[in-house]
Amino acid sequence: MYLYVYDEGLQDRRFERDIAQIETRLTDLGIAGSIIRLAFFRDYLKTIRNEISKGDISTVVAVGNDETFAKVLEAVGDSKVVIGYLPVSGKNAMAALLGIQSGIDACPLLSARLVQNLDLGEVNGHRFLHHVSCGAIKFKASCDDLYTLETIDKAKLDIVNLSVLPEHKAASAVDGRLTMFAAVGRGFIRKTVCTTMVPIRFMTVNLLGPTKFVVDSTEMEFSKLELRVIPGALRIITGKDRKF
Amino acid sequence: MAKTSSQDTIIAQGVRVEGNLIAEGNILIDGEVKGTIVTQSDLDIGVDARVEASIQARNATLSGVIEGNVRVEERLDMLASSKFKGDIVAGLLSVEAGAEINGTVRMGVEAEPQTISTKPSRRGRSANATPVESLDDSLSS
Repeated sequence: MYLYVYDEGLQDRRFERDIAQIETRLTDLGIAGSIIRLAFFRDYLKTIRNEISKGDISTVVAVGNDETFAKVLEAVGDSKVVIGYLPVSGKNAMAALLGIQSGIDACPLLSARLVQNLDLGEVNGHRFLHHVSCGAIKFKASCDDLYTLETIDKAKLDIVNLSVLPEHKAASAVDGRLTMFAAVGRGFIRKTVCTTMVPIRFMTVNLLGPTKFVVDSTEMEFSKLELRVIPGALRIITGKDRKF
Repeated sequence: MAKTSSQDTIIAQGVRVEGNLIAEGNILIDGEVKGTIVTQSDLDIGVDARVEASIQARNATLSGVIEGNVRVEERLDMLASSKFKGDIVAGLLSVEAGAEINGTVRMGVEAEPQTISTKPSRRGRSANATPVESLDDSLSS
């Protein structure tokens, strides 16, 4: 059975018609299911997990934008359900990566149910599909308990699971590893960028103090990073035009 | 070196690595490395690199300043800008004019290369890993 998790923003009247069309299409395709509407005052983790724990949910579909998708990803955790994404509003960078169209055009893809197993990353207990990134910092990292890696100057740090940017295209979400990129500016006015690239299974990064990071689309602050890859942890519906 | 893949490792300028750099894919070094470098694929040490390590690779191209013992299964290229101090064991060796080598060279060694576990333990070393010190011991034997 399908569980559809609606973003709180979809309660706006400008989405009323689109949502009605989508719901009709899902019914026609035979994949209608139960609906949860997120709200600012509701604990989304508890709400989604309660539904999953009832036992008859096979697929949880995030209906909304990348933030909705991140919430569903976090809520699903280690359960065996398949995740789907039906982009409707706002920022949908993840949709292009997964090869999923927006709005009603995503419905046939959900019905086709092309399921891929992807790696997930985890940073300090928070799961991420795309990346963890930070502006220029000096850091020292312990990689796979084998070696330490230290930047001599400040470096832009990205730990990537599923790459979006061209400069991170070497990263792969099906190789059982995360890829760390550290870009250091060198030379006069730091015009030349030298990028270190290291595949890792787990890594600890010691920072000089609380530092702001972006984990997928969410801003978080950490004083230390404990990162690991969870190979094949995510079962997700994709389209044929996926970028991996 | 071929197009970068997700298994490749690049240590660029401005980065310092210390410990056992063990990789399954190609390794490219332009920064500083101290310890051990092991790959089942190709190794490229750039002209700006500073390496103080025992090295094991399938093929290797050396340009920078390297101190340590090197074991290369197939081809080792020492470029004109390389400054090397240590012992070499290689299947095939090419040395450009201007390269500096201070140490011994042994060619076409039949013995099996030392195996070093490429699987990192979650905490501490795995019980089956070959100690990395044995790479130096075999070269001096």
